[in-house]
Amino acid sequence: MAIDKSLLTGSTTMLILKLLEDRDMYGYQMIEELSKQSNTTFTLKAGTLYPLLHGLEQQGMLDSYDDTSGNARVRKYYSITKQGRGLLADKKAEWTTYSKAVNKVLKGGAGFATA
Amino acid sequence: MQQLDKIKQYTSSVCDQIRWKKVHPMISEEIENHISDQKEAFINEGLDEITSIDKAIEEMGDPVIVGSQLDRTHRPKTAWSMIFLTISLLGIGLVMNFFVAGALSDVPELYYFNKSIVAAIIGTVCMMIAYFVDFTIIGRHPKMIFAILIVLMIVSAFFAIDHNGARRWIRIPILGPVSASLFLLLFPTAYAGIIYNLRSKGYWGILLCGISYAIPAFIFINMYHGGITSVLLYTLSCLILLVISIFKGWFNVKRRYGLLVVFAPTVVISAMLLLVMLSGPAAARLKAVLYPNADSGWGYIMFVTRDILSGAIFFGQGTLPIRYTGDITSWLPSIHTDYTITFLIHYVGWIAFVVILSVLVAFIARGFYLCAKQKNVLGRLVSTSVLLTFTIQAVIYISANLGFQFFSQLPLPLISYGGTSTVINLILIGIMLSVFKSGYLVRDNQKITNSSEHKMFEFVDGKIVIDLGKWN
Repeated sequence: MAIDKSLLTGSTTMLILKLLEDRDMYGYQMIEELSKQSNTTFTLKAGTLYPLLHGLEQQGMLDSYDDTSGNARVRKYYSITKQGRGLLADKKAEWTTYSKAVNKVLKGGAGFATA
Repeated sequence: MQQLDKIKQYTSSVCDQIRWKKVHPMISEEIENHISDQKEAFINEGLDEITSIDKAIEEMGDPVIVGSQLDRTHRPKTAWSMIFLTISLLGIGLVMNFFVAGALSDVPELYYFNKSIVAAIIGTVCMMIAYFVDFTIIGRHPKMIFAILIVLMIVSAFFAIDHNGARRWIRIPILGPVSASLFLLLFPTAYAGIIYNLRSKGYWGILLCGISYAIPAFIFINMYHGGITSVLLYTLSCLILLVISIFKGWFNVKRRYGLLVVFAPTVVISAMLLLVMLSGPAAARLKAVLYPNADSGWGYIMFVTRDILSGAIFFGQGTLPIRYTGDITSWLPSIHTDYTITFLIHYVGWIAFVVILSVLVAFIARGFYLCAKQKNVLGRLVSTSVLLTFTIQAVIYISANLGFQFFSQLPLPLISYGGTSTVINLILIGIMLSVFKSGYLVRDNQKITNSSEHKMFEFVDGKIVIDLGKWN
């Protein structure tokens, strides 16, 4: 199911940081992985991803390095920094509070069938 | 072929939106790689090449929107704080030289003040040039830069004029005398490029760094017969840069052994030098610092500076002990160059010292802060080298002005009178500002890692065997 884009915008940063929590990835890999992990619910446009990645790198949330190992192409890998992990924790907490509140309101409303 | 052009066309439309040209190659590469990855994925799904490329480009999104978003992220980072502090230091220097020029009676009115204005203007132009030149040239052609500096140093030695047994000055038409021994201030920054290039060679790299250090030091000492403080500054800067590099793991060697390779020869040579010097003038000097005596050569200046300082007050002109009759300039030598701060403390009060020291400390602290934020090795090394050169000069100058003349004098960067020093220091600051501006764009070809996740890179680090086989 394709979802309203505006729902994704606010949480993209969190999703990217989450992806990088376990291992370093390059841009294309992140889009693939995100799509896979969300059963193709999240199809992030590359045009959205790179400005976001570069912004996060400049804020010190991410680091990047070039790696050629195993590929013909030089790939720019991103890795999460300590500061980035802190931001992820904040974003997660924010998200939990928000989604709980949304669900609560939705449950209170009429005609809401599934959680 | 046409399809490949489509990819290029897409990346160039993205880059058209990004005003800062320096980031174009990095962004183009990343986007082209992405499109290729996406294309291959589509081909694997069974689409033909042409459709795959079209679809992959479509997936990227509107190039104008992507480009303008990237443009907002990538702007040259002008370190305004450092520029402001540099201008403040130059301003302080001019005001100081104005006071001093007024106090000196043996030269035409405002002679030194006018000359320092000229130096500030020439220096600022040089700084701007250094700011706009791509500093990565230091990392790309370090051997050439180092060699050119060495050749210039050798050639200048032949033109230098003997002064009190040391070769110090070169007369250049129009500009006037240029201090040749200050030339050495440029070497630590060139040396940063040498370390950067040798860092992949492990222990060999460290050894070669040691040899590279020794060449200019040896030539300088033998050809200039003086300016030992400059050699000390150069030595200390190189040593600190090397130690930082080993600590940061840039040489990819075990720290303990890496430091051993640096310090074993350093300690042995220093001990030998110390033994030679302790029997010579250095011993007299050390004794003079510890027990100043007005009658001995070096003791005199220490005695005078300390006397002047003891009579100084916080605001306003201080008093001198009764035996100092007449003007302060007849007691304190070289107030326009070496002892300007001592003079100012006497003339204006300690407040002058507090102001100057605060700006200097702010400059150094802010500089090291911005330097620590540099992620690539070359930017780190180059900005550290400039800050070390600046800091060591300041420490030596100020300690001498406070009555501790362990070494012969170096100029106070941007402040004390001296055209050569002002210009050289401004060039160095220009290079540092250039690092702060665009350093984050520089990509090291090897991963700098200090996280334990990448076990592969600890392979060499964990070995106890000294691996000298990293020659290539």
